[in-house]
Formats: sequence, C-alpha cells, structure tokens
Amino acid sequence: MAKKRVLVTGAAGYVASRMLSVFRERYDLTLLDVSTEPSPGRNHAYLEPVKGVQIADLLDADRSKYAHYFEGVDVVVHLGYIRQQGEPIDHYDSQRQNVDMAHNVFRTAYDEGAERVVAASSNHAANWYEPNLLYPRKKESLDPYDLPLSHNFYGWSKATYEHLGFLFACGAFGRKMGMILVRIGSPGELDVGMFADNEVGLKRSLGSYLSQRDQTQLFVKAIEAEDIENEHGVPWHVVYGISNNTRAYWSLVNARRVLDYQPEDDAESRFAAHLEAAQLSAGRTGRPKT
Amino acid sequence: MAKRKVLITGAAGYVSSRMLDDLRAKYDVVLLDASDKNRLGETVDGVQIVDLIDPDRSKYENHFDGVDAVIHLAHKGRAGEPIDHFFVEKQNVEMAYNIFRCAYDNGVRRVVMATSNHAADWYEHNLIHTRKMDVVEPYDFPLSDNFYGWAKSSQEVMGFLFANGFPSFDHPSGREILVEGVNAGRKLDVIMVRIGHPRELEPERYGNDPATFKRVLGCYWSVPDQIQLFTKAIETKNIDNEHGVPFHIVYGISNNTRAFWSLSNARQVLDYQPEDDSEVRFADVINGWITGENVPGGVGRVGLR
Repeated sequence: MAKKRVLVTGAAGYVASRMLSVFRERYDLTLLDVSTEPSPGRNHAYLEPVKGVQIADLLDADRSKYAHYFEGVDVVVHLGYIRQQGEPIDHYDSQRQNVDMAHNVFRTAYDEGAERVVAASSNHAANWYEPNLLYPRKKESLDPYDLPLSHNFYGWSKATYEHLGFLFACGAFGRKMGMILVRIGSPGELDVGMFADNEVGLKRSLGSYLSQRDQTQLFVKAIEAEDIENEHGVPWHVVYGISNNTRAYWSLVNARRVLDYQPEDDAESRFAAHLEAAQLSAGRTGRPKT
Repeated sequence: MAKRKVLITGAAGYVSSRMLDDLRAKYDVVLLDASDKNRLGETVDGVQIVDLIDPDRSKYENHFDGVDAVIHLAHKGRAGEPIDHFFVEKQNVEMAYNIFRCAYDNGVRRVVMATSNHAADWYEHNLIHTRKMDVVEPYDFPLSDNFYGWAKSSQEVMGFLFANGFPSFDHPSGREILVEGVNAGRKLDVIMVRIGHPRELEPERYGNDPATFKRVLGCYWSVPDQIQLFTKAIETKNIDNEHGVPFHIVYGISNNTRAFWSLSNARQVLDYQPEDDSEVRFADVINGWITGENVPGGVGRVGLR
C-alpha cells in the first residue's frame, strides 16, 4: 500500500523532533517551517538543521504562496506556532496570529482536499480549572468537552482554534474534513532536580507528562485511525496528549475509545527513583496542593 | 445620586435602537459607532464616530475615561461565501479585544457584551430540532457551524480572561500561575448576552414556514425584556460566579413557552424576570397555523415531528 502523504507544519520545532524519525519511516512527508534550524529553548533530539524542511510562512494571508505544498496530501499535522511576547495582557497580539495561522492551514487543507488535520492544541485551552478547581479538589478530572476556560491568551487561542476546527469538520461548508485537536500536556522528560523547591510543579508535571513514545503513538493513531466520527457523525475530537499517568487529572477516555490510544508510560513508574528522593513517595498525599 | 456613566458601542445599530431611549433616561451615556446613521438613514443624536477595530487604541481610549459600564453591541457585517466569513469575523474578535482592553486599562467596572445564540447554534440545528437534546445551557461546550458563531464564542472565552484578571509582567507564560497560583490582578466584571431573536414575529418573515416559525417562537425577545436584561446586567451588584469569577454567559430571550435555551443563570444571577412569552403574544398567529386541527405546524415545541 502506498504510504500516506503527510504534511507537517512546525517541522523543525521541538514537538515534531520527538516523532519525526518514526514519521519518516511511515509516511511520504512534506515538512514546512519558517526555518530549518531547530527552535531554541528546548532539548531537541538533534541540533542539526532538520533535513527536508521547506520554508513557508503560513501566517501569510496569501495562501496561494503555500497551497501547492498541500496538493495531494492526505493528512496535515499542524504544529506551527509563533511565540508570544511582552506582558500577559499583550499576548493577544501574537496569539491572534496563531489563530490566523490555524485558519490558513485548515482552510488550505480543506480547499486542497486533505482528508484530515491533526493539530496541536494545548492543555492551556482549559487551564483555568487547574489551580482553581483541580488542585483544591473541587473537581477530580477535566474532560476535553468541559467549557474551555483559560486564564491566558495562549490557552484562549488554542480553544479558539479547536472550535475553528469544528467548523471544517461539521460540514458547514460542504464536505466534512476530519479534525483531531491534541491538547498536549508536558512533552519532555522530567528533570526532578528542577523542582527541588516546587512540589506543586513536580506533582503537576507528574500528571501532565507525555513520553516520547506515547506522543508518537497518539499522533500516528490520530493520523491513521480509520473512522473518527463522533456520536453525531462529525469527525472531530479534542483529546488530551499525556501518558498513562497515575496522577493524571485530564481525561483520556475519548482518546482511548476513538483512537485506541494505549499509552505505555506512567510518570509515577518512570520517575519512581526520583520521587523517592523528592520524598513524594513517603507520605505526601494527593495531587498538587493537597 | 449621580447617574452611572455608560458607554454604548454600536449605538446607532438595531439592538441599541430598541433600548436607547430608556438607557438615555437612566444613564449618562457615551455613544460610539462607525456611523451616526441608523438603518433608515436617520442621524442618531449624540453618536460619536469611532473605528473600534483600529489596533491603535489611543485614538478612542479617551472615551472610556470615567466610564462605569460598557455595553458592547458593535458588530461588523459579513459578506461573501460562508467559508470566507472568517476574515470579517476575526475583525469582530479584534474589536472585542480592543473593548475589553480599553475597559480593563481604564478602570471600567463592568462590560456587558452582545454575543449570540449562534455561539452554540450547531446544537440547535443538529440536536434540538431533532429532539436529541432538550435545552442548551450557556456552559455547554460552544459549538457553531458558522464563523459568526465561532467569533462570538471566541469573544465569550476572551471575556473570561479579563474577568479572571491578568498577572503582572514577571509571570509571562501562565505556567507560573498554575504552579504558584499568583494573584492574577484586578478582575473586570463581564456579562456576555447571547441574544436570541430581538424582533416582533410575522409569519411572512419566515417564508410562511411553520418549522422556522416554531423556532423563532422559542427565540423571541421583546423590547421590555431586552431592556430589563441589559439594565440588570449593568446594575446587579455582585455577579461573581460560584468560583468567585465575575463572569456569566446568559441567553437573551423572553419567557417563551417554546424556549430551548436555558435562562436559569440569568434568573439566578441577574434576577431577570422576563414578562413576555411569544406563545401568548402571538397567540392569534399560532392558533390555526401552528396549533389546531389540520394545521401545518404539527405537534411539539420545535420541529415538525
């Protein structure tokens, strides 16, 4: 069988770096980003320029400049993202551009006949619940379909483009384009030492941890699952992207059911030795702040 | 007691026209719009012309000085194919940001913003009309099938950010709030009003289509009820929700027998007590067309089955 044609945006970025080698084996890839250099600030799997990345500015409102990359593509994996700058209240100015970029990608995929888009959203789309209800245990677990309330523009933009994705999935404009929004947790190994004086941060990260292989599995299944229609016939889902963590406070129920996601890692086991050192296994009960 | 200073955007528009006389009597009003002409081309007294989509807020921020409450009704109309409506609707999102931001920066106590039932209209079209769902709650996950509704729900969620408050400059990522629970700064009161169908009902307007008419009987909003809801949204002292955030999304409809949107939080938080019911008000039209023997309207609250 011919390999699926998959286009990846943000292909030189950190999240892409954790699964690109598997993608290269499985798919006929088109890689787009604004630079071939790995983006700064995170521990990439490699530090060399990323091979095969083509330069495209997906913020450009003139979609004809990059539409040709989407021709014949089966699935788009949208990880492209611009960083926010300035004070929190000013982050709107950069985050609205991320909404524009998501629109450009969804619209181009739609116009060029892509069957599905898998887009990186973030746990921040509904991060308000975390310190306000989850930590004090006024709420036990957050479902992807709870009202998306965020306390920052980063989360606002993610929630906004989850809904934007729904428009393209529900058939409002004609055909239904499949759409999976992955609310990524904490994608990276935990450096327990970084949390020496920060038990809340450590406990949080133990709940939100996403291992490299679980991330890869989730994205591969989001690309390959045959039927992703929800109960109302709309091929649209918001799923959390975390490992099978003992301390998880975000629901993986629909990721397991719809995508058959079977995460193999649990931060609790993986970092058990460190947890002992951090005294978390010696009677400090509960989740963050309890 | 001095009158409250209330700034109204979209002041020359239709929704405003239904309550402006009343608001003028009650409040010291500041009226802004992109034009001072109403739909009939008549000049609306006192309207100042301002482009609130302009990202340079310094051009109009002065109007927010000393304002107690803002009623944001302004909206830019869309054109072209549905799939292209994004481009206009995102300007409406930008305008909402400018309003929230000016209000937040200038010490305004409260913003009451017109959103729309379309913020969650997908449920109506797909589940309500087929009776797979009985009532949409304001806090159901907002799903729309058009960019107009998408933009409205984006504005609602944006309002929550301002109601929750913004932290100081040394907490740039948001992650620190999760971990440390820092004080997020002053809270702006925000009420988002999902307007239903703010006009009198005439069957001809709905193509003499009984199914559509049954729908608007559920969505109807009378002038007195609209005035009451906006007035209460401005004047209710404490609008903190159960978690201490002064934020609510409420539906703007009358006390309609056929309603399929919940008014429970509007009643509870704002003491909204709508006086009209489309079923009573339009009984003459309903009788013999929607209800009665051998009529096309069929049984049930909405839909024809």
